[in-house]
Amino acid sequence: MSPGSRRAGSCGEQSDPVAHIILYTACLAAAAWQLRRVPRLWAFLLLFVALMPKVAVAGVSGNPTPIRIDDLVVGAALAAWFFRRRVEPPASSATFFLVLYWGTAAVATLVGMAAMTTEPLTGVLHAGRLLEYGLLYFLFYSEIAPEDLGAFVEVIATSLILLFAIWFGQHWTHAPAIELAPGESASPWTTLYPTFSASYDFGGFVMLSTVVLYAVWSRGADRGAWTTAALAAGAWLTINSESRVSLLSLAVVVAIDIVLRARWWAAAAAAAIAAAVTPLLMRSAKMRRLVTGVVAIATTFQLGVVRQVIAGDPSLALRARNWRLAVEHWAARPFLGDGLGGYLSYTRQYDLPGSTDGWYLRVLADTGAAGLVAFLLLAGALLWLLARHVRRETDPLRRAIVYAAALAVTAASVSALLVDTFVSYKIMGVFWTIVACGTRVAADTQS
Amino acid sequence: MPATRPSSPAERCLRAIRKHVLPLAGIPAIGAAIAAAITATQPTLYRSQALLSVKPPPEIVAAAIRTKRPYLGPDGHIYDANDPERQTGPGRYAPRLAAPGLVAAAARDAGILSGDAALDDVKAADWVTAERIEGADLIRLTVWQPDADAAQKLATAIVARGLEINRREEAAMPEPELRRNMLVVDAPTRPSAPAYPRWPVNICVGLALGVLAASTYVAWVEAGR
Repeated sequence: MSPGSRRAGSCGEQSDPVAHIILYTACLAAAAWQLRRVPRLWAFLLLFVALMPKVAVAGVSGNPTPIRIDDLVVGAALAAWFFRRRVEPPASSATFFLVLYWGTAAVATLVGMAAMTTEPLTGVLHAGRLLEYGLLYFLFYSEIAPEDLGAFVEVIATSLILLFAIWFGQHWTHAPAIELAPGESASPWTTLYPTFSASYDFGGFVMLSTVVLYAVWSRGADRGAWTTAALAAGAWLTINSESRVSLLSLAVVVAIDIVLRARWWAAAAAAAIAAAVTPLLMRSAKMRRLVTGVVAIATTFQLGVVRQVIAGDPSLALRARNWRLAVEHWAARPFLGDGLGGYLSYTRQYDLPGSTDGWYLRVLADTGAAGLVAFLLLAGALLWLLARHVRRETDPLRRAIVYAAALAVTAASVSALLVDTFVSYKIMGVFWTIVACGTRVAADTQS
Repeated sequence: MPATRPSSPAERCLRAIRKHVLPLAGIPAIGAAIAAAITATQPTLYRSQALLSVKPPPEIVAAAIRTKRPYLGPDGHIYDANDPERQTGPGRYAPRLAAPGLVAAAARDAGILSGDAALDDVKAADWVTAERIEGADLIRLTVWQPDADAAQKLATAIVARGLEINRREEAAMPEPELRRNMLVVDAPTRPSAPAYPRWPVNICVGLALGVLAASTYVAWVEAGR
C-alpha cells in the first residue's frame, strides 16, 4: 500500500503523535549510533543541523526571526572550538575573502545605523548571525582533517537517510486532517519538510548533501550501498522538496558535471532521460510550474513570456515585488546600502515583514555595491581555488571532496538567485562543512 | 622541522591583543572622536509623531464580524490579508500623506514655507515619512523639523489635509463597504528634546568602526610575521 493510499484512508484523522515520537526516537537512536562510530564535534553538529527542528527560545522586538535553540548549540560549539587547543591547520586561502565580506557588511551596517536606515538591534543581530554561520567554516576547517573524509561522507549519507526516513514516515504520522471529496486522490507527497522551517531550507540542505554524494559516487570514490542509498534518497527528497530553485541548482551542477566529464552524446541522452522521467517524478503542481516556465522561456526567448511566467506564479510575483523595492533602496544608497536587516522595514511576505528572497539583491540593498562585490569575490575565490585543485589531487576521495565543494559553491550560488541561501542556518550548516573540507584538502596538498 | 605547540584560537587572540594593546585601544578611541566631531556638525532636528487609523465604517466591520462574511477591499475585490498586492486603507493613504505636493501645501499652512517657495521630493522625504503599521489599520506619521514647534505645526497641518482628502474621496465611494474613514488616534506630539543626531548611537558606531579598523591592522601585521 502506498503512503498516498494510506493517507486517503486516514483522511479526517488527526496526525498521530505517538507514531511520530517513535519514528523520531528511532532516528535519534540511529544518529547516536552514527556518533558512536564517529565521535567528533563536527559529526554532532552535522547531525544536529539535519535533525533538530528550529525551536525558538526568545523573541526579539521588531524582528521576525527569534533566537533559537540552534543558536545556543552552535554558539556553544563555537566556544568549545575557540578554547580547544590543537595543532594549527595550514592557513585557509578563503580567510581573506571571508573577512573582507564580513568587514564590508559590518561597516555598511554601522553606517546604516548612524544614517537611521537600519535599526541598531536589527543590525547587530543580523551581523551576529552572519558571523555565527561564517565561523562554522573555521570550526569545520580545523576539525575535519583530510583523514576524516571517509567518515565525513558517511555522516552526510546518514543525515540524508535519516531525513528521508522522517519525511517518509511523516506521511503516516503527520498527515493533516483533510477532507477529500469522493473519488478524489490524497494530496501529493510534497507538503512536508521534516525538521526544517520551510521548503527553501529543506530543499537547500538536501540538495547540497546530494551534491556531495553525487560527486563522491560519480567520481568512483565511494559506491558502497549506504552512499548509493543516501544518494537516491537525496535525489528523491530534492525533487519532492517543493523547493524549485534547489531542484534547478541540482540540475545545473549535474548538467555541468556531465558536460565537463561525459561525451556530448552521453549528455544529450542524460537530458532526454531526465526530460522523460520528470513528469513521473514530480507530483506537485508547484514543481511542474517550474518545468513549464523553464520550457516556455527556453523555447521562446521572449521577454513577454518571462513576464508572464513571473506574473502567473504567486511565489515569483511576490519576489519580483520585493526585488523592485530592494533595487529602489539600493539606488538611494548605492555604495554601502541600508545596512544588514534594513530590508525588514520594507519587504513583505504575505503582509508580514519578510525576506527579499533573492540573496544577491538582498546583499545589494543591505550592503550596497561594496558588499555585493565583496561577496562575489568570496564566491569567485572559493570556486577558483577549488576548481584549480581538483586536477592536482590524485587520491580519489580527496579529489571527489574538492570537486564536491566546487559543485556545492556553484549550486549554492545558483540557489541564491531565488533564496537567501547564505543566511539560512540549515543550508549554511552543510555548505560550510563541504567548503571547509574542500579548502582544507587543497591547503594540505599545497603545504 | 620543530613541532608546533598546540594552542587554541582564544590563546592566539589574547597573545595578539597583549602585543598590540596600543593600536587596539587608540584606533577605536580615534574612531569615537571622529564620530563625535561629525555628529557635532549635524543639524539638530526635532521629531513629531502622530497615529492615524484608516478603516471601514464601524457598521460594516460589525456586520462583517457578525455574519463572518469577508469584506471588500478598497479596490472592490474581497479583502485578502495574504495578498500583498491588495492595498489596505493605511497602505492607500500613507503615501498620500508623505507626497511632496501635500507636504508643501501643509508646510505653507503651517507657515514653514513661504507662498512662493518650492519643495522638492528629496526635501519632502527628509521632512515627512508615513508608514502603515501591519495588521493594525494604522499609519504612523513622522515629521522632522529644526525646532519642536515647527515639527508639531507641520504634522498637524498634514493630518488636517489628510483628513480633508479622506472625507472628500471616501464620500464619493459608491458602496459603503469600500469606504475607509481616517481618524486621529494620537494627535501630533510636541517633542521635548531633539531626536537627531543620535549621539550615543553615533559614538558607538565610531567606536565599533575603530575596533574593526584596529582588528584589521593587527591581523595584517600578524599575518606579515
